[in-house]
Amino acid sequence: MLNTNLVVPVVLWGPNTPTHCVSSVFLSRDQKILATGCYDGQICLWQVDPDTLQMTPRCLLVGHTAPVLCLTRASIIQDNNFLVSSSENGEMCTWDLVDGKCTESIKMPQVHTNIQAYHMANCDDIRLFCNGYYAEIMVMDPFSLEVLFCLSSKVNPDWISALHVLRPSKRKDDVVLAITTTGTVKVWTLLGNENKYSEPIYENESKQIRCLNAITMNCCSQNQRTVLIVCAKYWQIYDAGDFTVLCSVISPAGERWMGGDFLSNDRVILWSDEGKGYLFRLPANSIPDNKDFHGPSVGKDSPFLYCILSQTGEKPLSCPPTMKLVTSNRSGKTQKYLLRGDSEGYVNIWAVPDISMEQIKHIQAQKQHPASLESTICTSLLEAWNKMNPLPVGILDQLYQNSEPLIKLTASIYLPQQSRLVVGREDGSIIIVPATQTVMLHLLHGNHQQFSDWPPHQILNGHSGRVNCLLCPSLAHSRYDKSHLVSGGVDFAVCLWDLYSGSLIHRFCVHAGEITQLLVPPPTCSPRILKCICSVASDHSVTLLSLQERKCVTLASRHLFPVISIKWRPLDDFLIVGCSDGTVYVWQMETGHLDRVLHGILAEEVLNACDENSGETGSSTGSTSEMGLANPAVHFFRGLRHRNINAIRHATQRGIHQLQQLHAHNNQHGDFLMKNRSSPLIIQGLRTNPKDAESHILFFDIEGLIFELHAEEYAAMSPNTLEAEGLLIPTGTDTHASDAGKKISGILAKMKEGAENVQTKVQAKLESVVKNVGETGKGKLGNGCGVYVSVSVCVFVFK
Amino acid sequence: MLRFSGSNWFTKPHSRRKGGKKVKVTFSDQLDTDSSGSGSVPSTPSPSVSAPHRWRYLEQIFVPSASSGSKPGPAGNRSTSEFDRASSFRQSNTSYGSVGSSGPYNRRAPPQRKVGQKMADCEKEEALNLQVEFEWVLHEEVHSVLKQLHVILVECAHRFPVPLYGNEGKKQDKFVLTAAPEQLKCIVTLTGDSITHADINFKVQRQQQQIQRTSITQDYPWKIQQVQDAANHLQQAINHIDNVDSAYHFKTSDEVLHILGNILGALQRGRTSLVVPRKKPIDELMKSRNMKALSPNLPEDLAISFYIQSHKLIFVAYQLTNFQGTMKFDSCQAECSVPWLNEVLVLFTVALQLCQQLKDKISVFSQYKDFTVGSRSPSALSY
Repeated sequence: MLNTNLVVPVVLWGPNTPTHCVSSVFLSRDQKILATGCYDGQICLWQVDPDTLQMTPRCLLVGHTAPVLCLTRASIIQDNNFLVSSSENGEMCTWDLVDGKCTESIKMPQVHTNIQAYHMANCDDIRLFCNGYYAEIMVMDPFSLEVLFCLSSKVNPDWISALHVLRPSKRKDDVVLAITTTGTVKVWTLLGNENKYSEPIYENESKQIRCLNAITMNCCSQNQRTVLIVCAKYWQIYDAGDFTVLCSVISPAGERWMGGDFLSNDRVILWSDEGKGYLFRLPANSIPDNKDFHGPSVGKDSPFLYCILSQTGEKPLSCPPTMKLVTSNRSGKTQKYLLRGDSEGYVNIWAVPDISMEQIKHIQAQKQHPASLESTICTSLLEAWNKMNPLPVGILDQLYQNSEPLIKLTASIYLPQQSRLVVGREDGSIIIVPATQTVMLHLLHGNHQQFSDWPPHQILNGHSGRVNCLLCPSLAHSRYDKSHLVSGGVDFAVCLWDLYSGSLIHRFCVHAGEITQLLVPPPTCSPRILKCICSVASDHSVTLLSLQERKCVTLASRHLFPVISIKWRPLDDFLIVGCSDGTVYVWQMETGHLDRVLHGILAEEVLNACDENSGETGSSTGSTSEMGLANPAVHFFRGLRHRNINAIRHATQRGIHQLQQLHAHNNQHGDFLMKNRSSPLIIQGLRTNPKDAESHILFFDIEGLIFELHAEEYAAMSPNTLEAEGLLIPTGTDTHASDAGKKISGILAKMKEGAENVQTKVQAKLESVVKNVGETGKGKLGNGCGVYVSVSVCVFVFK
Repeated sequence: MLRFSGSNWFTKPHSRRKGGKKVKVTFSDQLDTDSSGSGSVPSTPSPSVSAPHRWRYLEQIFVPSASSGSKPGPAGNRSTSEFDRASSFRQSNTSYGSVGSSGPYNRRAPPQRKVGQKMADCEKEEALNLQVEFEWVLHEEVHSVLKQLHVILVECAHRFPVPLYGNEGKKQDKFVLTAAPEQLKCIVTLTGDSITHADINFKVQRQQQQIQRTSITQDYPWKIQQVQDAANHLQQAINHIDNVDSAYHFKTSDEVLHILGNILGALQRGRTSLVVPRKKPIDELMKSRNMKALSPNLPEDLAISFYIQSHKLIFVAYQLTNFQGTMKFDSCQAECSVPWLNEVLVLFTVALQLCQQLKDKISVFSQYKDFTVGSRSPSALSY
């Protein structure tokens, strides 16, 4: 636990479905949980009814900042619901599927493209066999995410493109079968006593075969004699004894194979990038029991396609769907399922049909087309959303009349001091509403729901097109005018507004692309820059716009690649722009001169140096334009949204720092009040894809709420009444301030027990509840690992 | 600099012209200026700067209704782009007040717009043009750029001294690395991605200075994993392009963006593996297989390492010292330039830029979510 406060997060999803472009799928063995990872880095958990396979989205696990490439189970124990995920930038997480918490996370320099969970002999539980963009096979522990040992190659070492671990029958050791991208098949034999410190483990055998860039490799589990290797253009069956090709099938025209597996001794299933499954019966020379096994392939006896699993009436997909064959065991019955998740967020499941030999012979004799089978179940987030009546609530739903089409919310900030919420929308309008009243409309029943003009709101019209970002500079630092609000839109303009009068003060038109981000320079900048805000646009330009002078002070453009990070060296008057290709541009802020352009390792060092610099000068002067005031969790989310790992790291460090300070304070009796108490309600926008409409998370700080209520109530009471109620321990010499502190802490101690009940009450009232915001740092934060918040979000509570 | 054996990629692709479609394609203007020199402004992904004629066209729409006195800027000349952009904006600003919408972005016609039939026609024409442009980009431009990209990447693959994409060669180079004054000297034979032979001499700070000698022999070469990693990432990028040959029919901008994202990712990783060597702990180096293959073996407090950093091969000798209980190490390094690395990096960079430019172009259209091929339907026209 990072935060000792009890915070209840509530998600208002809004009527628009989040984008979910599926990159990996997983079905638990007990068939109760389906997980889909997406290209934006989220993992969606679906509650599956094991009998009907009906699925309901249950949680969205937020944490990865890159496409989720692998999802795998973490334990052989069925009730032990843990899941390991791995993303394209080397992040790995272990998730508790029950409450959605991330129990462990690391960021590795090696990126895995495939993970096989395997229960080794002489081991208690599963180990993860990983291969990817590196030349070894890494064996990891799923719970600690430690690398236990590596398997290296002696002959033609190269990236491993596919692997398969199996235990030969009647033997106690495990065999790892792998193929490199250049087509060398390798075999390792594991005894179970391998560890990190042992000598490098080399392959026992290796053989070069003619098979480049294999995608999957599977050994038939029944006979352990035949191996299926799938490449994009063909799949082949090999004899595991000597690795000779037994048969080979080219992919259908216009399609590429994506993977495959054995269904039984004589049958295989293959899937293609069109999202179809193909069931083949193998020829006699590829079936070990047959007398013709290993014989030459006979012309008329070739693999026979007897069934196609397909889905009709699809929308065009933006990328090949991800597919996987899973075997489930329910009440003694084994059933194989083909899972598929596509770029539109659809999940299809086919129960793989068991077609008898007679039927196949019939099809073969009649020269019929292979049987075609539609998926057993097809669902998507969109369908789940549409099923809801009424649709999931959005934070501004009350502003729409029934007939009006909904306008997507695209940006929002919350002003805690005024308790107002500022929301930018797709049509260019910005709406300011009192936050508490808005929230009341959703969560509390009462007279206020009858008022037609409630909540009172203010509309700022100025942008023509989507509002991309909002900034209230005075939130970040008090040097800015309290009334200023800055917004950036798709119309290339940055607008400066007066929050109170609602008037447009100035429109900056200096960018040549839509505005993507607005930031605040650190407080140690020169006086002129202090009056500026920084804006980033999609034409790869960065500007410093002076709110006082109403003009652009510095235009830093001509970056060849999208800007991904902005850092500051205020004392050197440098603005440091990091681009997506790793280049770093150093600009002088006052003069607008490009000081230098850095590449490679030097660029990385300069970026890191900016971080260290900010660390020394204290957390609130953050170089990455972090604000000192707000809750680190909020920044954490902002980091997640912008996929800025540095911001995430920074926020976490700040969180830990705050926590440490908190402990220091708690030890000193009476300093309780000094705690940097954020407001009882914080509203944070949550958007997982730039194209999505924003959802909102309401963070209710229960302790803060109680604190505030009591502070109000007891402020009216005299010390004597307090003492009479037993809430004050008289000490005599303390100052007034610490008196108050004790007063409150005494109350708090009493109320804390009650808080649990409050939580359950609040939960009961809410339609959508985020159960937990668990931040797991586990002491690994210091060395730069990303940290993962798991927002486990109950999408629907149907009961 | 390097000479290109194939066609020169910096010239304009010809395929664009021979398409034969008589389309008022605004993007060609932008392209021409972009490809004219490496130092020009990066292609901006905004339709508003894409072509002069659009602004002229917008003037027709907006100027009559612009109430305030600001004059429309001289929007014809893109070479002074900074000024132009500003002025075009000023123009759209002023129009904002009365019209309520500027630029081609506003898909929904604001209800208060009552400028008349001419406006509606113009808008329709604009929308139609955009749609035609979009289809042109998707069907012609994407393939032509991918083809260019393919040529560049294959050229890059041929520079690698390892078997890669039809390239057979195991090139052999000899380098001498020295650090003054006679601190270390190392004569290296680099064959493919491995150092097959090396004579290594370096000074060690002991009680008295002594020279440590060791060597790498043919039987146990020192493999530089960075080269193989870069080559494999490059191979992946080429595979991504191979998957969508010229017969492939792109249907949506999302699809193109996805493929470009994959290519960019692979190229980025490939380049990074050469440019930013991975830092590993000293003990990992000490027990690495490369270290153990040295003959004679080094004493326990010494370690050496070869790695690549951009176009340079770097040799480092480490000496560990136990200073009051904490381990410290001193290092001494020498470097030399590897010619083929330089060429490979240039080609990686050119490919990355080309890819990013296309991505920026496509992103302009992807703002219109209902833009798919064949969607030239009422939905695309009813702006």
